[in-house]
Amino acid sequence: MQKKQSENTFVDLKFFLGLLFIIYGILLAGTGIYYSLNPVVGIDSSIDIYWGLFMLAIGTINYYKSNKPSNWNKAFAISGIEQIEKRLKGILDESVEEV
Amino acid sequence: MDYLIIVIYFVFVIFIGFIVRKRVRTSKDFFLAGRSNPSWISGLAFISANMGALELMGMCAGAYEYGFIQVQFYWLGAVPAILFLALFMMPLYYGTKVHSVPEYLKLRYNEATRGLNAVIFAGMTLLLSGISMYALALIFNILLGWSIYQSIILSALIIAVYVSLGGLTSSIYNEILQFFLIWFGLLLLPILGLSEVGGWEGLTNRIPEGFSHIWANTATAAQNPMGVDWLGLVLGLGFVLSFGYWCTDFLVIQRTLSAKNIEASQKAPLIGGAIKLVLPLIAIIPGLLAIVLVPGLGEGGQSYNLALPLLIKHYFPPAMIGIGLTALMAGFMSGMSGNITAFSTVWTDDLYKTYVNPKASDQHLIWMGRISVIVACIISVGTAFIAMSFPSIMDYMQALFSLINAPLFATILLGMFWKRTTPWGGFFGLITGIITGIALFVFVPVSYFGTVMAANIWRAWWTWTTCFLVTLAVSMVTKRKPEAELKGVVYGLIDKGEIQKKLPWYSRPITWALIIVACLIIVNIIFF
Repeated sequence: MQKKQSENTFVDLKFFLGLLFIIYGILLAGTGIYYSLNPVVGIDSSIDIYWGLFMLAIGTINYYKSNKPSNWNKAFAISGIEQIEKRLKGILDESVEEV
Repeated sequence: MDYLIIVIYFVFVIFIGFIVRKRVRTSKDFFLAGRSNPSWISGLAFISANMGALELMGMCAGAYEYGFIQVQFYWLGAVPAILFLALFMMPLYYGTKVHSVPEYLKLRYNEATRGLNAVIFAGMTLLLSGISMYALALIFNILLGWSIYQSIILSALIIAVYVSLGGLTSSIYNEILQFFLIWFGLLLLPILGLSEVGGWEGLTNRIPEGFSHIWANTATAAQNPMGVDWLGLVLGLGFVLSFGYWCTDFLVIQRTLSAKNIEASQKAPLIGGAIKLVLPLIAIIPGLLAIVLVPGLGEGGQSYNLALPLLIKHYFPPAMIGIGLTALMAGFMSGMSGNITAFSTVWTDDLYKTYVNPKASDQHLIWMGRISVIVACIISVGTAFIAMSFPSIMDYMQALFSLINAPLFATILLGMFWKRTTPWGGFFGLITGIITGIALFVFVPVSYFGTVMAANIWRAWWTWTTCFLVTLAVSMVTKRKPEAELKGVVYGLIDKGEIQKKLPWYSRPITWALIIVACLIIVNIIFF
């Protein structure tokens, strides 16, 4: 079954959002784990760990559901063809009216 | 690590600009994002463009200074106006296929009214983008120790790059990215803060008496620290300032105009309105928490504006501080890029194309749009220093809105809903309203009104009233436009059947609006 693509077309926000959150999630969780292994007084690393994992999960879901860059050019081309079609239809309608 | 997180964010923002640049074919793509966005993208951009300096630092500072009554800027001062915009004004803005609010004024009134509004709006957006830039620099200065000057120039540079590359599309995409970053960066503050102080009840027990109510202390102005009674709140904030901003400011309207069809353009503000209901969680509650956790602000010491950054410093460990900082930065950049794109559209479409180069080709207009973005960023560096001279960001912004948006709302309201309003009625009403506002600002001292906030609210009311009455009076004695020219431009003369397709009841804008109204009533009762 085909995966449901996100609604917007040639540049998919979910892709960027997913990627950014994955990177941030890994950085946060990684920092948290580092501080839990090397404790420093006054730093509560648990916040970094659970919030990092949370962001990682959100990022992964969005990345998985996103339309990947390889499809963007295709979508862009299709949107261009649709625009041309719309323009041609407009010209045709006008001509029909004139006739 | 904090620096790395910020750098990654900058790389993403600029990368999106480069990707989107290849997709900009026409000026409609550059200035209106091709009118192709689904409602959720336009809706999130609509609210995100407003989540600049005012939302984050300003509202948090306001909550610290005035208490929970500050939430009125959302529940009274935003949600009703947003619902009105969605249900009654969007069919006209979107249906007329205008590129900008000044262009609508040309259709409804005349070229003079469009020109006046375009020039004033362009000036205001530059002043407002300076605020975001200054606030961003302040954050860098406090939390990272960077100089204010370096920070201002860096933020201007980044915004100039991504907005000039991708125009409104790039700005909207980044605004949505920023929207999620803001929530993920700041949501932990109320969670951690409320659990430390013992929940909402624990918080209200530890803040000054009366700081936890929104209506109970508004019988007289002296009863609440904001210095405004319920009538001032309802008329000044709930009606004039709020409707003046949300229903006429092109910065936010531009996002709804990017929607793919009229239903999406109506749902976009409704999505924004629903978000406004819950936004106090990250913008107001932290301000109240800061009263308890970061005491002593504003008493001849550090500014109220520092409540939010200091709270971030108080709670967040390394790396998480980077996320919090990035969230703040994202807020300021979305506010600033919103102003810059609005400026670019109004300058290129309403001023340059109309008065300077009417025969400009579409490609030339895209080029001019890009140049105007860069120029706007440079000018904003200068206006950032004007913002620095005001003690409170919030007061500065509200002062601008009271002078410019409040009279414009009267002009648009009469224009949209009363077909007897004449072109010169609109022009003279608008100019008289603005002059009244400037006169009140210059000649009537703040002490006359009590507080700065009260001065802004009452000034807005009087500028609106003046504009409204002058427009009425001049319209009575000048020639009106023929009804045929007003078709689709005035509410009584639109073909509702043509633009409102039959939708299932759960998908109709009115259903969404009623649900939001019910939620609004509930929160007002709970926090009365």
